Amino acid sequence: MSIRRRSTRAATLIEMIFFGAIASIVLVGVVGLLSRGGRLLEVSRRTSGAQVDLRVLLETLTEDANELVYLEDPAPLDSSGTGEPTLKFVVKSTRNESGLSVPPAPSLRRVEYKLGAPDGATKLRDCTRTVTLVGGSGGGGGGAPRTMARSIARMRVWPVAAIPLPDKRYNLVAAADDRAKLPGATVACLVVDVTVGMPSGETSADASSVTSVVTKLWCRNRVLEIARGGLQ
Amino acid sequence: MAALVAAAVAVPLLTLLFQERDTEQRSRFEYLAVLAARDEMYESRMAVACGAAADSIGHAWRPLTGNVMERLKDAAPDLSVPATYSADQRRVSTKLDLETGANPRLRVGTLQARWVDPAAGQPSGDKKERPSSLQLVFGVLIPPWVPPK
Repeated sequence: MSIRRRSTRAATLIEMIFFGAIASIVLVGVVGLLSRGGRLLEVSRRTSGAQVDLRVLLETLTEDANELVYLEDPAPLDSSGTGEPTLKFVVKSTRNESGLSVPPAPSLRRVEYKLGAPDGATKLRDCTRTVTLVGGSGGGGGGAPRTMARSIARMRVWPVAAIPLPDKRYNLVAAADDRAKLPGATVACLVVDVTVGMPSGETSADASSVTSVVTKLWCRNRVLEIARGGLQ
Repeated sequence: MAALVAAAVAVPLLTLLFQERDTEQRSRFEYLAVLAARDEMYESRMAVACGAAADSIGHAWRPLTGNVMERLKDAAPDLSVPATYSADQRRVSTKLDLETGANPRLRVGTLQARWVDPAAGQPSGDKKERPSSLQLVFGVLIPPWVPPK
C-alpha cells in the first residue's frame, strides 16, 4: 500500500514537471504573439548576422552624420590598406551614449570610428565607435569603444565639403581639398561604401551572404543651414 | 493528447519562423529604399543650394545605378568618388514630384522609393498585398540669393 502510494506520488510529480514544461513553452509562444513579440524576435535576430551589423552601423553613422559639426581629419577612410584606419569628427548632440554622463544641453562630442586589424582567416574587420566629450562640454565618462559590426569586408568613407562660391552658390569638393578650409566652407556629407562579409561566427566566406551598400549620409544640420542661406 | 499539445506549440512557432524570414528578406530591400529616399531628400536640397533650378530636380522613376555622385555632377565638377551602387541597390527606384505651395519660395517634394517593380507582380498565392514602396514628403527651400520670379 505504501509502495503504491509512493509510486503514485512520483508519477504525479513527473506529470507536473512534464505538463509544467509544456505550459511554459506555450506561455513563451503566447508572449511571442503579443505586442512585444515582434520586439523579442527582433532582439533575438540581432544577436548575429551581417545584415544586422550593416544596418546598425549605417544607422549609427547616419545619426552621427546628421549632427556632425566638423571633421577632425578630412582624409577618407579606406579599409583596403594596412593598419587600423579611423574616421574622426565632432558632433553636437543630446543623445544618450552608453557610459557617457552628459548634461541635458547639447554637448560637443568626439566620435571615432575605427576598423580593427583584419582577422587572419576571414580577412574581416571589426568596426568600433568611441565617443568622448570635448573639453568644456561638461559631464564626463565615455571613451570605451563599442563594437558596431564584426564582419566588415570593406569600408570606405569619403568626407565631402560644401564651399561657397562668389555668386553665393555652393560647390561640393573633397573635404581634404584646400578649398574646404576657406571661410564659409562646411562639411556636407559622408559618402559611404561598406561591404559586410558573412554572418558573425562563420568561418568561411560565403559569397551569397556578402552585401554592399553605397550611399551618401548627409550632415542634416549643415545642409539645412546651407539651404536657408544661414552660413552666408 | 501529446500530439495535440505538440501541434498547439509547433504550428504557431513555425508560422512565426517563416513570417520572420519573409519579413527579413523584404525589410532588407525596404531598408535600401529608406537609405535611397533619405539620400535623395538632402541631395535635392543641396542641389538647389548649389544652383540647380528647384523646378528641374523632379524626375520620373529611375533606378539607383552608376556612380553615387552622378546626380550631383553639376554641383561637384571637381569631385571624384569611385563608388558605384551595388547590385542589390539597382533594384531600388525613386521618383520625385515637386509642387509649389502657398509659399513661393518653397517647393513641396514627394519622393517615392520602391523596391519591387509593379511589373514583376506580387508572388502568386499571396493573399495580402505586400508593401513595395515608401513615400517621403519634404520641403525644398529656394535659397535667398535666388531672385523671386
